[in-house]
Amino acid sequence: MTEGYAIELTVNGRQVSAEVRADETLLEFLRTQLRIIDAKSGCGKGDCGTCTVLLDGLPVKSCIVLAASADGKDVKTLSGMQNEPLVKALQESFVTHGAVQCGFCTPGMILTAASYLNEHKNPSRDDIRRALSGNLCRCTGYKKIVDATQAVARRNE
Amino acid sequence: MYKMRYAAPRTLTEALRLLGEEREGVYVVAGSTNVLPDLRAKKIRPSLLLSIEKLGELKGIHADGDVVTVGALTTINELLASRDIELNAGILHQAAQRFADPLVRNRATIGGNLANASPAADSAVPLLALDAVLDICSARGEREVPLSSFFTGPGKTVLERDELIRAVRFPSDSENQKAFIKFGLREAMAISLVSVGVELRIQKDEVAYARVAFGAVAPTPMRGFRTEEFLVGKKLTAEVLDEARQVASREVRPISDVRATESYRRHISGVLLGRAIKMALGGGMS
Repeated sequence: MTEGYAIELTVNGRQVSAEVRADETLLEFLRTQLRIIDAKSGCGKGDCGTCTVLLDGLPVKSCIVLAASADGKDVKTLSGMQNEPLVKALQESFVTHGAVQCGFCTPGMILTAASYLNEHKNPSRDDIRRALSGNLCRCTGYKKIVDATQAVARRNE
Repeated sequence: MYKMRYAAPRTLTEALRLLGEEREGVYVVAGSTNVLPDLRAKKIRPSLLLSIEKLGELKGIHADGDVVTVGALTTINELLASRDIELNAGILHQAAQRFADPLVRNRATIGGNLANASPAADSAVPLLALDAVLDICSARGEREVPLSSFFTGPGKTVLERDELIRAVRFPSDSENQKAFIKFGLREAMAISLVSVGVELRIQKDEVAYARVAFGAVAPTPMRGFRTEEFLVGKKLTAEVLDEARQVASREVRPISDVRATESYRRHISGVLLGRAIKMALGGGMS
């Protein structure tokens, strides 16, 4: 039993007011209170990156962010970024390159890739691998994930 | 009934008051990259999660003459993005590139990494080599503690229950030759098996100044005082380097655990020291 803590934040462009437990994670809040399920629950301890969301524009692992600390902040998940050309291009590239196997890591992978490509115009293959190093693919389909990301980076040159 | 509360004060005064009032079970939380896994694993059972995230007093990087001050809430990615850090704390900048992974680096803070006091803390090794001092505050007042006497054991520090790290301070290392090496089992999200940092100044072919620090080879991140003492005044010939490796291997106090054995860590400590010295001097790796 924990006391509720009132928060107000923006999630995928929508103003949200809610009460969260002191120990509630941002991931749990998104999935159970808001039913936003494109952020996935994988390891639950910050290792795998399937829960990646953007917090004030920065990619973070939402399973190790307290929901309470998102108070006053802007949260974006992949489903809230469908109109962004870079995100669309990455989604299409992941499909054409066969970079989606079971698909569980894909939303986090694409969010991390999108936020990296937004900041870096001409990354090498190694740069991309380093940028995605916090997102694990348990199907181990890394080559195609890097291929798909690199193809979009090249298009942006 | 067990209740956990959350508070996110907006001023340092208020945070220190709350910290001073609560007797037990207060956990200070910033990026929560350590606290949340510990909560989930039921390693901790707080009565109050005291978020210090909103305290502007603990933010910012300032380079003033030869002294750099880094607010405790500075994230690892903020260190990486800082030109002041790149120019004046090259070793810390190198270490930040190997810290956890790019997503964790957006949340993990330098104060949190130090207060968590992991023997393998990746920010502690470069900061020890930088001779860093911590500015610590409480409702009772302020004090400074050299980082080399801050850690007392795994997860343990000299911080009193009502104290917070406010900032980390160190002299610029722009004139030094330096290198940080982290040896882990993966490139990302690895817990160091051994990490080494060195800061050197060479005058007339001899070592005039040496700072050596090791991670994950003792109950706390440690200064290599004996290795430093051995190096100062010497010409860095192949023989001297070889001897320095042995001094380092003897000086570290590692344990055997799931990641490596004691003797392996001793050996690697020496090997990495040699490589770090060569890297610092610009000779690449042997």
